[in-house]
Amino acid sequence: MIDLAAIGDLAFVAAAYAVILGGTGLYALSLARRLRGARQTTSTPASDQPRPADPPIHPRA
Amino acid sequence: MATRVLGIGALVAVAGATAFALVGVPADLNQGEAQRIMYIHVASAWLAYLSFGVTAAASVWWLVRRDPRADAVALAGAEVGVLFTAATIWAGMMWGRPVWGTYWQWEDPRLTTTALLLALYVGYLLIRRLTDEPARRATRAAVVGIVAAIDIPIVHFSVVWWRGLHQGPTFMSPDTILNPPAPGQFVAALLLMLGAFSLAWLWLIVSRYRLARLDWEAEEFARRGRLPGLAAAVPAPRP
Repeated sequence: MIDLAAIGDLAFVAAAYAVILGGTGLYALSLARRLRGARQTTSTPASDQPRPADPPIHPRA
Repeated sequence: MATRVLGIGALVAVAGATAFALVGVPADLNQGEAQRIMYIHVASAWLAYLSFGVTAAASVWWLVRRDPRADAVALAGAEVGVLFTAATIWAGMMWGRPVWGTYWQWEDPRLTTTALLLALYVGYLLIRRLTDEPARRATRAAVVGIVAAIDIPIVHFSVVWWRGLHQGPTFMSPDTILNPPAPGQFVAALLLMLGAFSLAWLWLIVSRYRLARLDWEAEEFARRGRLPGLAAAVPAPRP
C-alpha cells in the first residue's frame, strides 16, 4: 500500500532542498555571467592605447 | 580550466549527495522524512561559519598589508557566507515546522543569533556600497568584517550557553565524536553532503574572488580616466 503521508512529507523535504539548490544555482549562474562580462570589459584595449594603423586605401584600378 | 572542472565536479557531487540524502538513506524513526533536511541544514551552517571566518581573516590581512587580494577574499567570503546563512535559516525553518510545530521562534537563542549573523553580513555588503574609493571601502568593510565575526562563536555556543528549542551540538562534542549518536548511514549522508557543498563553496569563493579582482582593476582604470572597454563602446571616427 502506498503511504501518501510519507510521499507528502518527502515532497515537502524535496521542496526545501529545491529552494536552496535552485537559489545557489541561480547565484552561480549570475556569478559566471558577471565574470564573463568583467573579463570582456577588462580585456578590451584601453581608449588611450594607440589604435592599430588603418590599412592603406588603394585607389581603384 | 581547473575552475571549470571544479564546477562540474561540484555539480555532480551535489546532485549525488542530494539523491543519497533524499532516497538513499532511511527516514528517521522519530522525525520521519523531515530529518532529511538535517543534511543540507548542517552542511550549509558549517560552510557559513567557514565563509565568515575567511572574511575575518582576510579583513585582518587587508588592515595589515593593504593587499587588494585580501579585500577580494573578504568580499567573496561575506557574499557566499550570506548565501549559505540564508540557506541554513531556510532549511532550519522547513525542518522546524514539522518537528517543533513552528517555523520560527524569536526566543530561541540559536535562531535569533543566526538571524543577527545574516543581518550583520548583509550590512557588511551594504557598507561596501557607500564609497567608490577602493582602499577606503576595503578598510571600512574590514573593520565590520572583524567585528561581525564575534557573532560566529556566539551562534555556535548559543545552544550550550542558553536554553531554547534548538538541539545541542550533536557531532562536534568530544563525547559524540567517540560515540556517534546517529546511525552510520546518517553520518555518511551528512559527510557526503558536506563534501559536495564544500566543492560548490570553493567554486563560488574562487569565482567571486576573481570577479572582485576584475572589478577592482576596472575601478582603478576608471579612476585614472582609462576605462577599459571605452574603445570598444565608442569607436573612434574614421578619417
